[in-house]
Amino acid sequence: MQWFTQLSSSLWQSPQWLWALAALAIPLVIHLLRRSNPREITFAAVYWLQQQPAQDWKRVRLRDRLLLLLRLLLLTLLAVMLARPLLQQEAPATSATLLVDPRIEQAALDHFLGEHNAFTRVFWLLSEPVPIDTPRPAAPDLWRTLSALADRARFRDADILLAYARNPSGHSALRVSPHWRWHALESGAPPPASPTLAQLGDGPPWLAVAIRSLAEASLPDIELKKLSNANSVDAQQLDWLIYDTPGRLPAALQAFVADGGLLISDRRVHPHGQLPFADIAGNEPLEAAAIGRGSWLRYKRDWHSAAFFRRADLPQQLWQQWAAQDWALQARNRAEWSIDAVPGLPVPDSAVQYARWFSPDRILLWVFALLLALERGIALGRRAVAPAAGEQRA
Amino acid sequence: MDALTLASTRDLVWLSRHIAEGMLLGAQHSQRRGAGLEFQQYRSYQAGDPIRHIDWKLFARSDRYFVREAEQESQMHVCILLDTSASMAQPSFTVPQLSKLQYARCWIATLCWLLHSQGDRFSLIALNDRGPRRVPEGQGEDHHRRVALELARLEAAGHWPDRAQIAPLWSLFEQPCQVVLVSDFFEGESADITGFAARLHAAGRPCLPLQLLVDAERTFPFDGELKIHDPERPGFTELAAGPQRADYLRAFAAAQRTLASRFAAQQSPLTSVAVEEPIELSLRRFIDAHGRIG
Repeated sequence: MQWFTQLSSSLWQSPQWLWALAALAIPLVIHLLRRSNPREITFAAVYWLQQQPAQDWKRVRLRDRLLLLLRLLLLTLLAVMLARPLLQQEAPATSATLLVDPRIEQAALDHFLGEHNAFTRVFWLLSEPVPIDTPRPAAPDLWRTLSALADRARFRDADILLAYARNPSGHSALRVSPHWRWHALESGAPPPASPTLAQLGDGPPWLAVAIRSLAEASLPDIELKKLSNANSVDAQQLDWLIYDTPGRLPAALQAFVADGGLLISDRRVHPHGQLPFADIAGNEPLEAAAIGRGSWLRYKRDWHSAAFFRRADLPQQLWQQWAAQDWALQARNRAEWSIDAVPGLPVPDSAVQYARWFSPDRILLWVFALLLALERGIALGRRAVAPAAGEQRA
Repeated sequence: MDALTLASTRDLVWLSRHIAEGMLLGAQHSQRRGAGLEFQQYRSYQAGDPIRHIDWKLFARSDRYFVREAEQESQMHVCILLDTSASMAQPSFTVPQLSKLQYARCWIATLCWLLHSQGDRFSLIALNDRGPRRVPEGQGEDHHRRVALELARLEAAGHWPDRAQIAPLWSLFEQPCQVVLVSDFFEGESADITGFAARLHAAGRPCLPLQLLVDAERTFPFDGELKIHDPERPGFTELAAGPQRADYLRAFAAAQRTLASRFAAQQSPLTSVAVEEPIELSLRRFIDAHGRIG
């Protein structure tokens, strides 16, 4: 029944076939013509039957209404099928849906679901949410993912479970659904990400001390690895590389930078050819060059000189200078937003596509086949009944 | 003997004898075999006479067929009155080949054979407004054959005859006789048939009624729209069966009660028979209702 209400608001791919609905007159006329054919019998005891005046309205009674109805339906279906409608399918109800941040541990999720057991459908929070029983995906960029989901009708009314209440914000505007209900397992922000550090060959003597001092002060998980072979440097595992061998830069290290790493050296290291080094403002003479996705940070002074490292604030200075040059780290540690005050723009209901078009051809075909079988069954079944005794067919 | 056999058998003589012999099994035969050996007269051959009764010597002499007739004594004359108005052509709705008239033929032929086997005399009068057909009273196998032949020729048509047409028949009832009236007694307001029976009763000729119906007249098993043809009237009646059924059944039952009480008042109970009923049973019922015939 819902379809028939939808049919009015539907699109027709071949609307000229709707003229075929005029064929509905054919079974109507046939049934009307057959009306005045009552069963004729010879019955001598007619004297005891009430003689009723012939009523004209009774004569236009339709016979075999069920058959007529079936035939009308069949013709209508045929015309509709030929006109090839496109129906709007309403999105399924979206309440009782939970979107889960993939950063959440399984145990924590189970605990949460144990406390809130009203959710019938649980998905991973992705731009294209997948059911929770699929393997855990990588953590997405929340800002972009939420913006993508804001106008999806299926997830308009969902509950969203995040690992942290505070999360890094993005650059474009955040779009949210005003119906979302927010949950977070931790009220704070995720711990700041620490870059992985390594030195190739012998580093400057103050380096190990400075890193240890940083770790003790504010960055407990920072650690300095020591590498000996330039070919073992990999931008996937290493963020910052300190290189202290004078001379030309090895090609492997240049490739490391191009892959997204941050190379730190002083002025005794030279590139192959010319690189567009740019000065960086600050009290330390410093220049940087972008190579591929990463950059090379070069001190203009010799960092073995006492003037360079004999300073109380050396570790903080180094951290500031290096972190400022690591854009990926900058992005990860950008400003935060909280689910308690969602900064996004609510997407109004009017902007949401609540329905999608689909073609009911297959269903119509099945219904047509069923109705046809039913109609034939009834029509042939009636014919098989022999005319009753004493009956006269005019 | 089922209804279909009844409907499809053309040989009334055989059929009636078959049924009657079945009924007489084990009964005392009072018939005098060879009764009427005493020669009475010659009579010219009529259709229906058995060939073996032809006197061949006389044929040789006269070149004409003559049949020897014998005297036969009987105490009883049963006159069978058969209504052959068009309504008697009503077929059964379960066995369409079987009409009331066909049932009446078989029934009467069987009754005649029973009468014959008792040595009684019987005659037949078939009545409708096209003029009566009759077989005069007689007895014996040949007479039975003649009656059967006449029965087979009858057709249902027209109405019950009016008074003027019946008047000449009254002379037939001057001799004492027992009347068996076979009809459906569908007479409407006029009450012609019961009136006729009442006059017979008043004249001291008790009239034993047999009413023939078809089962559908008692049950009205129809549905939907009906276009009904009344065999005794032109035209059609159109009506919806369902809403009429209760009224019809009530009216029909009331009419049956009236009819039965009318005959009960004449000490001749009405035997009402549906043609779907085997003849043995209905005949047995009829005979039981009136004691022994004769």
